[in-house]
Amino acid sequence: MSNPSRSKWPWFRFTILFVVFAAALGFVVHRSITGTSTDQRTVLHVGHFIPEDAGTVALEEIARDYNRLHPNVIVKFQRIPRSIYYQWFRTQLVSDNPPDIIQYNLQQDVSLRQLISRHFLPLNELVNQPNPYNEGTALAGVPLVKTYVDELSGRVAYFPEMGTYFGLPYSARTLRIVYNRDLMKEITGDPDYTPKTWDEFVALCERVKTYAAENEIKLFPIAASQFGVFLVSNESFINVTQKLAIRHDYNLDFDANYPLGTTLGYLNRNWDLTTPEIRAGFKLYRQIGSFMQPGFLQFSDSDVLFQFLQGRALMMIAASPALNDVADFDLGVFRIPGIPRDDPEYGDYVLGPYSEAAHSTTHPFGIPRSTPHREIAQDFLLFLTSQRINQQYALATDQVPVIRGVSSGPLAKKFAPDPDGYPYGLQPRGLGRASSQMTFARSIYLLFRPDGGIDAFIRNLEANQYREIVYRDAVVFSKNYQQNLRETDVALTGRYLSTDQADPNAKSEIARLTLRQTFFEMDALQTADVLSRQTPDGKTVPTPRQNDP
Amino acid sequence: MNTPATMHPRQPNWLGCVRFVVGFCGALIVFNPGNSADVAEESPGWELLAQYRFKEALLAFEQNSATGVDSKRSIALGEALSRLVSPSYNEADLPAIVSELEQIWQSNSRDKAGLWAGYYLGRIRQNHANAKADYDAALTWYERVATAGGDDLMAQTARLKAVGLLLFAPLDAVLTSEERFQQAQDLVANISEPYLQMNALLVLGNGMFYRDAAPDRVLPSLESAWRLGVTDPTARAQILIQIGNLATKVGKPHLAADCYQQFLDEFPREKRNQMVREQLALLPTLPADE
Repeated sequence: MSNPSRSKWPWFRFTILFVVFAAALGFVVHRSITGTSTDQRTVLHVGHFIPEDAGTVALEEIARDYNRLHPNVIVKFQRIPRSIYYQWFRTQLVSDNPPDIIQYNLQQDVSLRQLISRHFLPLNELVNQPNPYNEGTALAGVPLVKTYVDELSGRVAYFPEMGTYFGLPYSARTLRIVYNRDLMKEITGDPDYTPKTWDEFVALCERVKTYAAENEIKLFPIAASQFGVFLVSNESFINVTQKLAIRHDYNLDFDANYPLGTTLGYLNRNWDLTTPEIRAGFKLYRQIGSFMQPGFLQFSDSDVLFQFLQGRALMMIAASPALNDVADFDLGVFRIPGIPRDDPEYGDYVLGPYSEAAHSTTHPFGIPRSTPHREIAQDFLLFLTSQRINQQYALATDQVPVIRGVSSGPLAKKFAPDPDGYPYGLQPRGLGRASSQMTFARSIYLLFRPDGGIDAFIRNLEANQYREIVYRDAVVFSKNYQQNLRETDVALTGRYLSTDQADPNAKSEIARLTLRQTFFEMDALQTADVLSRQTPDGKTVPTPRQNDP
Repeated sequence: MNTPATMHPRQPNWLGCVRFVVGFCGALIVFNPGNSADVAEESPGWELLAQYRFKEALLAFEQNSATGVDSKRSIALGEALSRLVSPSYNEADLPAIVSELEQIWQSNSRDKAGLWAGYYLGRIRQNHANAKADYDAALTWYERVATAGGDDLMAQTARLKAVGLLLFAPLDAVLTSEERFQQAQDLVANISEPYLQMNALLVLGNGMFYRDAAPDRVLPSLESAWRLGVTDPTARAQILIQIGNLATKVGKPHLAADCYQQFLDEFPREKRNQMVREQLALLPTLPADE
């Protein structure tokens, strides 16, 4: 016989269960939307791609420091593997609930610039005010932008076409040769041997080859991937094309305006792949390639790192001293020496060692517009970029500091950019955009093959319609310029109509943005003009001067 | 008994004249077709546009359109511009946007909204990625705005844009470099707002460089631009080097030395320092520049 009172129990139990579930769900959703933890503290989410463990540990410590100062805020860092970073980055920005702070990496991806300008908060006000966390230091009262070693002069934190800052960099990267000090001592007798000239560098590489042959061991002068070959060789390539760049500096500003100016110069036939200076650069590529491990074009960066750490190469190229974390031998560092003006073979093409002053700070942290914690995010960025905290980070990670007055470890010191020197020359590898660069990279194997060489390489590029591909990339440049001009136009109109023109600050801001747009528009119009004189198959019609009736 | 006349003693005739003049001027201000008061600035849409928040701006203008905030012409302009840069924009939207801007222009081409509309009709011809740019049509629109707007800031901005097209753009109009320079110089002479004048002089100087003008023709434009005040650091660095190099070429070593030295003082950590130091060292010691 059934008991009527008992038959109600299942219903009652399910109701209780449902209420508890609904309350829990609501609580979790509320937390995830507002970023508020159980005890009403704000949780600030920060996404980054710093791969080194030391970096992650240092950031966690900085988060704890911030929490001690602001007990109501918990900073949670999330490390994103580089392999999935771009997909993650794009997905987060278009989602409704991205992290409150995201580290970004631009390189030359124009579409990323557009994504950032749409989704990130402009930081102009923040960078032009003193960082309150620098109180009591020599940087007290100094506007944040001036506290940076490069005054944020690069095009990563600052978008000159919009006159806007979108991020605060936390990394400084310069290319250096990193070497195994034990091996260097074995081979040269001096663990700190540093070649001073290009010839000495080449001689060192030859010496390693001889040493390996004499001792019958598998040891190569330099471990590199395809990208590494470009990085090592570019150091000399931009040396031997310096005078060529200056010869075509039509507006006398000593600036090749990379990559746009070089791309337009190539399309205009100011120079081509057979120009002696460019051929000299290819010759240097080929020379460097002979010092690398066989099959280097097939290796990934992690393969190369493994080979170097296994002691199978004396040197490799690196952009930061982060290797120190993983190597079980002592590391030495030197800058790849430049080709001097008195070099018997290349001297006529060379101005001298190039300046690294334009090597700006990078990998900035920015704030998505949709964060509900805008003010806290800004405050944390100020904390992160204060002198004391950057010092703490630089020492803990042996990274190059980004803030003035911060000292670095002995290895990081050697990565500090050297501002002395001359401007860059031209780099055909960097012409156009991704399509041109991939075409160049796909043909480069011919340069290194024993049966290949410079002519075979150039012939292959021509057979692959390289000029046509560069043309198509320049068309994309042009479209991007137009898109950008449309947006900056409307933003300028908005600023003009929403501010009081009698206010001198408002007017001066409009003047500043107008000037940025003027420079950008001159580039856009020149691109359109050069393209108008090309046919898509790469033929060039007369230049503007010849075009005069 | 006090009469009205004694309560308010007759005022002298000159005061009446002053009142008349003041009243007339007031009426002119109210009814002046070029007056900016008819473009209201209350809609949050404008501020959102300034922050590149185009989607939200469009929503704000649509809401303002319903609630009657701001003048209809201003809101119509705001909506058209927001639609032009909205993430959901596609090429099929363009004819309607152009038509809206043409209506604003045609109903009054001399007020602020009308001038902005005319300016954007030129910008669309110049900068629309999906349609082929028509630089000659853009130039025509800038000339219309310049004519309609007189001294208005929009008209001066249109002149600045026209200078750029004349010197750099692939125009169908057959013009010699000399004709381009002359027309551009005439436009620059009609820009009085200092920051726009400075921009126009920079475009003129760089456009002359681009068209291979002799250094002595380029130098005055860049010098004039410099005198008007360039605050942007990147631009300052570039112009100082350009004037220094031009002055070297035309035989003004003192001017060149001043520019090079100022560059080195202002930009102690710059990739072009070594080049500039060498140029400075090469300068001959000569009597003062004329």
